[in-house]
Amino acid sequence: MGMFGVLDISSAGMDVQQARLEVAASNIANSRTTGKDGAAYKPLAVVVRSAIAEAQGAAGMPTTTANLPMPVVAEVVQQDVAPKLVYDPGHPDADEKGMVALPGVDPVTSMLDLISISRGYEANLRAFDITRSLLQRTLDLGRSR
Amino acid sequence: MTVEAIAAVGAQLAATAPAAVPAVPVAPPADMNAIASMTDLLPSHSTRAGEGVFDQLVNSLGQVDAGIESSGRAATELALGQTENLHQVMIGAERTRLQFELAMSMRNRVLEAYQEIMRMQV
Repeated sequence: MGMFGVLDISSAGMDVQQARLEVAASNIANSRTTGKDGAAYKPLAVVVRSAIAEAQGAAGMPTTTANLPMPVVAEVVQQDVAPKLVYDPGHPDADEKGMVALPGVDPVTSMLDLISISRGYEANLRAFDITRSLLQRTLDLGRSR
Repeated sequence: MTVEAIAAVGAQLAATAPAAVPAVPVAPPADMNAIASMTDLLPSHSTRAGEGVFDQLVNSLGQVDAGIESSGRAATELALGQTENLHQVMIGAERTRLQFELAMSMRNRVLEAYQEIMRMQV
């Protein structure tokens, strides 16, 4: 894979965290999005898989560092979370009992997700930074005299 | 093969050093063979015709140039707001910078070696 390949791995990790951030931001932003007849917003989740396992199954998993698996966002799925029913008869999306279905976005879970995403992105940045500084120091090896 | 060659040359030197007349007579063609096979010890870069250090350097410079071009394109896309993720632009730029520095340090090394050879007393 080589030292420059490590930069690609970190980049793929950051891609995944960015997708998670996009989805988390969408969940938070849509926490009041309603719809008629159960068409309310459903909280989304990112499914991350390994690019090799996706293509070749478990048999393709690496035994050397030559073909390390890259994480990829395989799909974005709707979470099967029960909507929060709020009594609001004046709302245009209210049912005959006057209940409005708000998306089941849990604020606490969303905040925890954001922390985990932030730490995950930082971890990838750190891995990138270390690789970069090691490459730089290796290059400086030829400059000492 | 080469060890025998060294041994043969060594034996020849040992034989010629103490006396002007070689004590152990060795046939001249055998000497020539021994010296010829000495060149096997050298790195075989002379056999790779047309692919010298400078050619390799120029090839790698072409790759670095392609990298600079692509990260320049990525920077333009970033400025135009067409880019999806910032980190890929930054990582690409950083990779290009490191590759450029690597190429520069290789160039400096090759040039140093060349100048060292040119300064050599003949």
